[in-house]
Amino acid sequence: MSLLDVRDLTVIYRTGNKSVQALNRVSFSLERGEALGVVGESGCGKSTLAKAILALLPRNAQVINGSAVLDGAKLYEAGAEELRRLRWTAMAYVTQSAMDSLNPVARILDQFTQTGRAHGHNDVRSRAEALFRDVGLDARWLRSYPHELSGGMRQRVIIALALLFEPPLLIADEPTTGLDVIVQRQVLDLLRRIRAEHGTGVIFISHDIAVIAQLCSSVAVMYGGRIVEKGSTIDVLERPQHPYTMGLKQAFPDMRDARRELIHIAGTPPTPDEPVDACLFAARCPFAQDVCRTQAPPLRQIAGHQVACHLAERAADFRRRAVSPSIWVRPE
Amino acid sequence: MIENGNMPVIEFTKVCKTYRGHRGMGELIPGAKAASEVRALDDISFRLEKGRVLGLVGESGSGKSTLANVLVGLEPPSSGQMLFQGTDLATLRKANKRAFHGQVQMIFQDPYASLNPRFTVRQTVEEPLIIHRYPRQDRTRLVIDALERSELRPASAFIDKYPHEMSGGQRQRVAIARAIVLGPSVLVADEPVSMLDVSVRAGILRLLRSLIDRLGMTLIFITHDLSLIGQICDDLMILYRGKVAEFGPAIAILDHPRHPYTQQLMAAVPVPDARSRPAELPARLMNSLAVVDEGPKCSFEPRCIYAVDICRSVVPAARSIDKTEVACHRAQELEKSATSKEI
Repeated sequence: MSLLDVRDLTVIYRTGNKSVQALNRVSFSLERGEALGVVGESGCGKSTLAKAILALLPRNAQVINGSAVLDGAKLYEAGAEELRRLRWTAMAYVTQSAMDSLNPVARILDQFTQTGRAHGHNDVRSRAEALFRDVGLDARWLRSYPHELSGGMRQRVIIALALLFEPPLLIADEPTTGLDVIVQRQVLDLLRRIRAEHGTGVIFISHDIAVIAQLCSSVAVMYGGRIVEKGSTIDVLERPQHPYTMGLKQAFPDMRDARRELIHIAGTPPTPDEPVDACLFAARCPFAQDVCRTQAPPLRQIAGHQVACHLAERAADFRRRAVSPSIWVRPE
Repeated sequence: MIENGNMPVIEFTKVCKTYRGHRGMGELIPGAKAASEVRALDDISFRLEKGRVLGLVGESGSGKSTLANVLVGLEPPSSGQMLFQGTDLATLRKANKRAFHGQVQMIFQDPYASLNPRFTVRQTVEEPLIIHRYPRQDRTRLVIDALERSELRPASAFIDKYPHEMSGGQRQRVAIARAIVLGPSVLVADEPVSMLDVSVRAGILRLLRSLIDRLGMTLIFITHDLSLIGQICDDLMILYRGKVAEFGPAIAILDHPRHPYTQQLMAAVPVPDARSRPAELPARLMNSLAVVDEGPKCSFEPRCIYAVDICRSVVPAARSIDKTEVACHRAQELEKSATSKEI
């Protein structure tokens, strides 16, 4: 049995009398010790996905279809009390600005103690000290206040706190964005080690395909609330089948080839509106044909990974053409 | 380093900027120790010529934002001199100061935060013209011109929009239009693409580069992302704790980083390749809170794996190697050993 099994997850947001679809039939499963990268741009639904799994969606959002099963527990059939217990103990969440979510007027050890008490553990001191060693912080910092630590140290404190009850699932949403590269490396090394040593399943949400390439064994590419491509990280990055993935790859800088001309995908990501019968990327896709504008492509299994593109059989040809920046230029 | 006789647009000579440390309750107690000083910029000298793009790279706390603030005139240097087109800013009177502020414009990281949500595009871009007392009849033409140069075409499709009606990339183009509307000679862009979607970043970088080339401006590009430097920069300055660690032509530094700090920064940048195993970084480097004791020494020494005795007792002066200036006692010998390893 997989650690996490998400099926056909569909989430809408209601604003006024309008409703917009933020997630559209998203399915995937995560094994113990697996790190899945979720990559996409603003509004693609990647953060909604994290919150939906944690059952932390805001009030105006609603799961209208689908299921999420964590370690046998059906998350959308669980009561509020069970969910509260599952968070922290079965699944933990680290966000981009998590380092700012520490209480500024409480010593760090007190914050571990409070979290422990809320879940019925009165003495977490030795556990906190062990976790600090795990995240590479000296235990003396437990006695300090958050402002005495650097941003990277605070982010590691948050990760230590998230691991307090050894949750089998850790969801990290842009946990290294805005950190300096050396600090980012420390956080990535830490997540890699946790995954290897504790068998923690990690969902790592990021716009940064380089960070995902270094941490994750598999990757799901999201666009307009859907998974458009999914497979092993090596497979997806080396042989992308979806034109959007090809574009992302060409838009991303690579230190080893600093002068390579980056592409710019003309147009803007779709705003999540009423579902349309079309490929949502068609308006920005240099390879789009009529069928792309009239039918939503299903997620299909092709050449070892899943892709939602009508023209995936021609991917090898598209990959050759996708390296040229001029092909991506269209009037906005 | 760049010597072809042109007058530099910007020239820093031994610029220092110090801030007083945290004002704690202790200051209220008579006889208590005065707050400590923080040296955000320490003896910075460089010159920058017209038409160049300078990348400014460093960790948080390296002084790159302070350098930008001094450069745009938001803060005076504590000591040293900054010349703008040959004129010392400190000597400018009020009217000339306003002219200077029109000549040096800033673009910020977050176009969601830097634009007034209640202003239309027209109001946002027109505001600098009003502040600088441009006649009303010229303003609309200048606004449209700036929008079109920023590739918001046709300008009429954008001019009455509010920020929330536009994408992140379009908003950053509005911020760029506002920055260029006065026809400045220097732009300072602080992480201008880090909040934008990956698919539109290259478009913004290309726009900035072409504006610099076509309008003959100079750009200071502040970033912590070294992988973008090769895309847009002519020159590169690596700052560490308020000091210049390395300064020179961007490509030369990217190809042959000579300062140990530059080398480690480059090694830490992740690459989009699932097969490449990231190089181990030395534990000593990770020690970012390493105590820097005052006194004459290299400020990177506590984190440097190559440190020897001289690094702990003498501040390294910038030395020229090829076209690059490197503030490291061992730059020359490290360079040799790196080369011999390659062979």
